[in-house]
Amino acid sequence: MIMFILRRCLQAALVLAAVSFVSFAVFRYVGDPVSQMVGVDATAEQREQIRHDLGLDQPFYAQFGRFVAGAVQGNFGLSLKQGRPVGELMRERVPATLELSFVSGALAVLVGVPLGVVSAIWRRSWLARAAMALSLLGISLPTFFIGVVLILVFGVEAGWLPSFGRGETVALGNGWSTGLLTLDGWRHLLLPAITLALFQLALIIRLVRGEMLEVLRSDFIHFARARGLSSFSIYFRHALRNALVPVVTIIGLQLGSIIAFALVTETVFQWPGMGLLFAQAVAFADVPVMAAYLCLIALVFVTINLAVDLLYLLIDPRVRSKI
Amino acid sequence: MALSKSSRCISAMLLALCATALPAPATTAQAATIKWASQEDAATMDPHAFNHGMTLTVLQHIYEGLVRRDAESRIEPALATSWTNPSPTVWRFKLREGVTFHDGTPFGVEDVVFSLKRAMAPGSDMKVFTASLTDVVAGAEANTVELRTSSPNPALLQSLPELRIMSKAWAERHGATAPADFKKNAENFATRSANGTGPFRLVERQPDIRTVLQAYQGWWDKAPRSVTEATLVKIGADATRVAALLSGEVDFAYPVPIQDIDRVNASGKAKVLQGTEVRAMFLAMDLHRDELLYSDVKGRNPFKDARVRQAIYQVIDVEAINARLMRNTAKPIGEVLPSDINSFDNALNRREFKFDPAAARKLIEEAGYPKGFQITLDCPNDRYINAERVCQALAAMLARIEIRASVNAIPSSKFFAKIGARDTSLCFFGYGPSDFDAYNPLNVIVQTPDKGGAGQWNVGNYSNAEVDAAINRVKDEPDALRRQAAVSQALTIHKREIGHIPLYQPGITWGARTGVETAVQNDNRVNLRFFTVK
Repeated sequence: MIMFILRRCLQAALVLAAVSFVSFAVFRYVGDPVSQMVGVDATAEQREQIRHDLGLDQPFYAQFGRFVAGAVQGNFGLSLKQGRPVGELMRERVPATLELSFVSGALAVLVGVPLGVVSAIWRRSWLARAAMALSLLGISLPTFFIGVVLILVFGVEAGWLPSFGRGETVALGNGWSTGLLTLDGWRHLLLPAITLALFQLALIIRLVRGEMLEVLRSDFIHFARARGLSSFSIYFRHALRNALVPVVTIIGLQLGSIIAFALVTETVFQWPGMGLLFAQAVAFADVPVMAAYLCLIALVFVTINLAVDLLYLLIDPRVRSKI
Repeated sequence: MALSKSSRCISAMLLALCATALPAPATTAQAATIKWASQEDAATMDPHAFNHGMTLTVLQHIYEGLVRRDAESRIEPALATSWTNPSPTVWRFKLREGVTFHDGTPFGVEDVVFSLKRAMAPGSDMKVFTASLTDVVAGAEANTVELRTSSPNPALLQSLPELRIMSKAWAERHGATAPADFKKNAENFATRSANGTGPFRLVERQPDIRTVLQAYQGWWDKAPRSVTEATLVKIGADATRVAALLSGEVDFAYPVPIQDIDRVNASGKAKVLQGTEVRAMFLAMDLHRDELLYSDVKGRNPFKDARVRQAIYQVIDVEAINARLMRNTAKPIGEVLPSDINSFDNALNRREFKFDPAAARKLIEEAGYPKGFQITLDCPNDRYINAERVCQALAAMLARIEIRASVNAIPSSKFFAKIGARDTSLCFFGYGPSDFDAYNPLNVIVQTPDKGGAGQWNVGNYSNAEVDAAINRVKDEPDALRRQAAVSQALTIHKREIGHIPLYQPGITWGARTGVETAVQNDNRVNLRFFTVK
């Protein structure tokens, strides 16, 4: 048991090391940050001087070593674009991304599960058809397109909702801020949250529907009917519970991708989160910010996977017996 | 990024569909308080740390130089009221009386001496403007300063608007006496705070999110100002920025993508203000190597043959690029210098050769390339308006004389490193003199590259001794007429020899809601001082 956990932690550390190595190796091809850091008028000597001062003229392994040495101490260096510590920039941006991700995730679950159930039970109802159409759109339309359409419809044409930014936020201290405590914050959050939720929503509707149909065909449901249980009890107490087991696993794993895919939504809505920071860093070849972001996202995925593995260990005796 | 580009074209499609607009919501912004959206944000509030368009746009509201530019970009007095040039290398400035910084402290000689020296210090990115300065000292008379230059610099005044004056006491109190230095791995107090003498005070600064400026009541200039408070927000995505303007969430947004100009004007809620930017776009050819790096011609360099250069010149239809790709926002030019700059005769921007594909075909055959050749056209894809599409159009035009150009479109963070290292055979880029003076682009783009910094972006290594001599005269010549004649002499030769292939000056497109008016600054720097808001 302990060995299992240790082994998993070791694997997680290896994954992180690999991600940072690969990302760092790729960054050399992103471009030259120095050409963005000084005006076009700066002389060649000034550029060389900056390159030297930043250590960009050192060989790859030396730069990587320096990055790792700093990173294990939680120091990701200074953003080349803003001249501020990367850790501080990330801390400022994390609340916005987490807020958006969790509201989207909640929206996807709260709307997706009931719609999935409804479309499994009353397969020919108009609601089921609408839900399936919605899920088809959510799966097939790219996120940025959904975002632009929502902005045009609700922001420009109807004028009901703002089209960019985070609105009014409340500082919670310790660098955290939230827009969830103000009406303005919610108004700003709505469109990006829907945009980001749509894909997950579609996934959940289809998943829940499929699982429900599967469970409803199984023997114990027939027996339940034979026992004369009410339809409500059969659908929601027996069938839904059994259908939700794989759904919960998928939702857990999808949480990581919501955080990672927030990048596109954040770019469209100018949502001041980590994804936007990363997108801007790529254009600038701001290596410290890019490296820190990718490591953080890798850490999120690794942590979630580790947690899921450990949960299986608790839930499923077959995994335990194999250890 | 590919993402924003595809979203842009999707949005353009959509916009065509949504032709019927619902009634607009009433604009909530009160007169005089405005919200403006730009594509990028200022990188720092330190006036000497970064020579970058948007950074200087924000800073010009907070900090002032000894002189400034008016709405037509002409030099006028600011913190200095008058000046004399008693000897060619000495300039005396009489400072304005009664000026105070935003924190209330009075402005004086020591602030000017301190700030100009700060701009000359290591770590400053404004050294291009201080290049000729050797010293700054207090003048013999009260409230005067003396600037000394290494050699006569007739264009000194053109550099001074960008050399902004900070409070010495404030900088010392907050440990910001030198521009923020990356080496020390720490930011500077002046990176996020500011204390100038300008028309607006910095009251809030959240990098990349919002920056709030408030009219400074103690400003020395009593000229009427319409804007009392302005919030700058960054909206990177083009479609979102235009949506924010049309929905009334912002009063002003720039740039407006040119495919959206008609839609904004037709909305009835906002309009596009247009101008021409002080920047010349052109093609640079490798004129130096005996064999091109990226071509199938071996053993010789086709660009060394003037007939090949002229053929390329004549097969490019700049008017068509302007009409089709730029929707007539651009202005075709005949040199690598933009019009309306100091010491430059605009007549030089008449194109030397007219568009004539038949003549071009004849020339390329005479030069011995009846079957043309293959070449790579390097092109930045995130810096200039529609740059990638312009490059593709250029490639299609070159194909008419069998020059098969493959477009290598890359981000500017890679592009400038590549062409700076002369790792190119043919490339498309642009340059605008930040001091509005002809010498800077002549020195940087046209002059033969040397160790002293000349020809830094002369990436094709164009070289002509006579042109170099004329450019050196431009540098020191104090007489305005003779100076302009030297500029013309250098450029007439460069033009005739086709040292570069000049294309156009790009347009400026600013979006303003109905009721907001401003003069369009040809350096593409929004100045709230010139706004009138109803």
